[in-house]
Amino acid sequence: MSTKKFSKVFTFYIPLALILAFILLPYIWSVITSLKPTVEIMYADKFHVLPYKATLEHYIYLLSEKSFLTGMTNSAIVALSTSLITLVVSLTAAYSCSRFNFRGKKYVLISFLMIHMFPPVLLLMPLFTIMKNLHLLNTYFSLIMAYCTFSIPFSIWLLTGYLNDIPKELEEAAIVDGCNRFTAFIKIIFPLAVPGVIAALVYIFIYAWNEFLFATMFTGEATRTIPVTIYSFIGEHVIDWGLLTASGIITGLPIIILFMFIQKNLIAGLTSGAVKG
Amino acid sequence: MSNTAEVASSVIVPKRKKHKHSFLINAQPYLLLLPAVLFMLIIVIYPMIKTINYSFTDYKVWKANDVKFVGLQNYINLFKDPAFLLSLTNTLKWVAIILAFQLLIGLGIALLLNMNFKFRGIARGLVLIPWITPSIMTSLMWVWMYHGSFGIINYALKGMHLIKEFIPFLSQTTTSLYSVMLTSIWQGVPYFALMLMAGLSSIPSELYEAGNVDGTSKWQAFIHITLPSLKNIIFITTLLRTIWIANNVDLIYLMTNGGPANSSMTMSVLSFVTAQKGFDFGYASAMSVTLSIMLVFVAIIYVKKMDMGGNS
Repeated sequence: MSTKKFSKVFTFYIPLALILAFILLPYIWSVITSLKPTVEIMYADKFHVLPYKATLEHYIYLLSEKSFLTGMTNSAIVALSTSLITLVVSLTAAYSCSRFNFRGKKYVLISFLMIHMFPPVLLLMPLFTIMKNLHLLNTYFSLIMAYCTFSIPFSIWLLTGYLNDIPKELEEAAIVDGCNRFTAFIKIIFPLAVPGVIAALVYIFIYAWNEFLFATMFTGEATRTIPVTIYSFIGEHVIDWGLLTASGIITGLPIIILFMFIQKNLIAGLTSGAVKG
Repeated sequence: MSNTAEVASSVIVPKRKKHKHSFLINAQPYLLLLPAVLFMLIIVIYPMIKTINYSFTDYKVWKANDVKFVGLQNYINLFKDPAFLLSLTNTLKWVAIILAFQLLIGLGIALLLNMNFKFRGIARGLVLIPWITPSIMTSLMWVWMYHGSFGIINYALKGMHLIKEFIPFLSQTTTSLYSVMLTSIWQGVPYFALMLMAGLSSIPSELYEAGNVDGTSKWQAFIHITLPSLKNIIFITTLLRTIWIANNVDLIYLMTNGGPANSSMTMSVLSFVTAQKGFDFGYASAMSVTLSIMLVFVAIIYVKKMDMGGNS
C-alpha cells in the first residue's frame, strides 16, 4: 500500500505540481510585482520575491487614469455589441442549418468553417480601405464589423451543434399542440438552447475584449479598446513594471472571472463537435 | 438521416397551409440564412477578393489614388526578399516546435486531470486560464519574466548557477524566437488539453476493464487503448492548431515586434508589420495570399476529416 502511495507521488503529485506551476507562475509573479512600489522593483539592491512593503498605488493610479477607464468602457461597448449582433444573425442561421435539409447546406456550413482559417491580415487590409473610404475608421462600428468576420461563422458552428442536440420531437409535439414554427422556437427550443447561447455570447465577448490587431488599426484616441490603450502605455511607462503588470491584471481579470462562471457551458459546446468528429 | 428530416418537416407543416404558402415554406431555410450569408459576402468574401487584387498591384495607402497593376511583381520580389525568406523558415520552426510541445504537454495534462482527485474541477479551471487571457496581458507577464536586468527567469537561472551572465532573451537574435515560442506553448496548451480531455472521457471504461482482466499493464493500456482511441481527435486538433499557430500575429508583435533583425519574424507577422508600419498593402497582400495558399491544403484535409466524422 505504502509503495503504491509512494509511486503516486512521482506519477501524479509531482507532475501535477509542475504543470500547475508552469501555468500559474506567470500570474503569481505578475500579481506580486504589481503590489511592489516602483523603487523596490527597479532599484532594490537585492532581489527579493515578496514586497517589503506592499502597496496598491499602481492600481489606484490606473483606476483614476482617464484614458484607462475610457479604454475599458470602449472594450465593453464593442464586445457587447459584437456578441449581440452576432447572436441575432447566427441564431437564425444555426436554426436553419439544424432544422432544415436544403440544397447547398453542406457547402454553406463548410464555407463558414473555412472562413476563420485565413490569416487575419488578409481581411484587415481590405476592411481598413473600405472603412477609410466610408469615413468609418475610428468608430465602434468599424471594429464591430471586423469582429463579426470571425464571430458569426464561429457561433453558427457552435449553435448548430447545440441545436442538433435538442430532439426534433419536442418541436413536433408543440406544433401538433397548435404552435407554429416561430412560437415553437421561442417557447420550446430557445429555453433549451440557453446554455449554448450563453456560451456563444461569452466566447465572443472574450474574443472581442482580447483582440489586438484590428483594434490597433481601426481605432483612434476616443475609441481605443483596452489592449490598445495598454500598448500605448507601454511606450510611456517603459520602465514602470509595477504599473504595467497591474494594467495587464486589470485587463485580464474581468475576462478570467467571466470565464470561471461559464467554464462548463463553454467547454461542453467547444468540445462536442470535436469528439463526434 | 435525410429521411427522418423529411418526415419531420411533413409533420411540422400542416397540409392545408403547405399548398398556400409552399414557396414561402420552401424558402424558409434560405431566408433564415440570408442575414448571415449577406454579412459574410460583404465583410469576408468581397474583402478577400480585394486582397487578391491588391497583391497584383503596387497599392500603398498614402497613394491610394495612384495604383498600378504590376502583375506578379510582388510575388517575384517576395522570393528575393531575405526578410521574407527568413520569415518562411521561422514560420515552419514556429509551427512545428509549438505544435509538438503543445501536443505532448496537453496530453500529459489531459491524462493527469482525467484521474479522480479532490480538487479536479478547480485544477481543470485553472489550467485553462492562459487560453482566455488577453494577449496583451500574456505578453506583459512574459516580457517581464524574460527581462534582461530584472527578469525572474534570469534570477532563477543564475541562482541555480546555470548561467553566469543575465540573458536578454527577447533582444538577442539567437533566443528571441524560442522565447516567444515558450509563451505561445503556454498560451495554447489548454486548448489541446481540453480537446484531449473530452476525447479521454469518451473512451468506454469497458475497454480498460477488459484490459485489466487480460493483465495488461498501464503502459500497454495507454499504447493499445488510449492512444488509438484518441487518434482522430489528435489529428483534427493538430490540423486546426497548425492553422491557428501559423496565423498568430499578436504574441510575437507584442513581445518582440519580430525583432531583433527579423529573428522572430514569421510570415503572418511580417505581412501585418508591412501593412501596419509601411502601409504597403500590395506587398503585404502578396505575403498573406502566399501564406493562405500554404494553409489551404491543411484546411482542406481538416474539412474533409470533419465532414467524414459528421456523416459516420
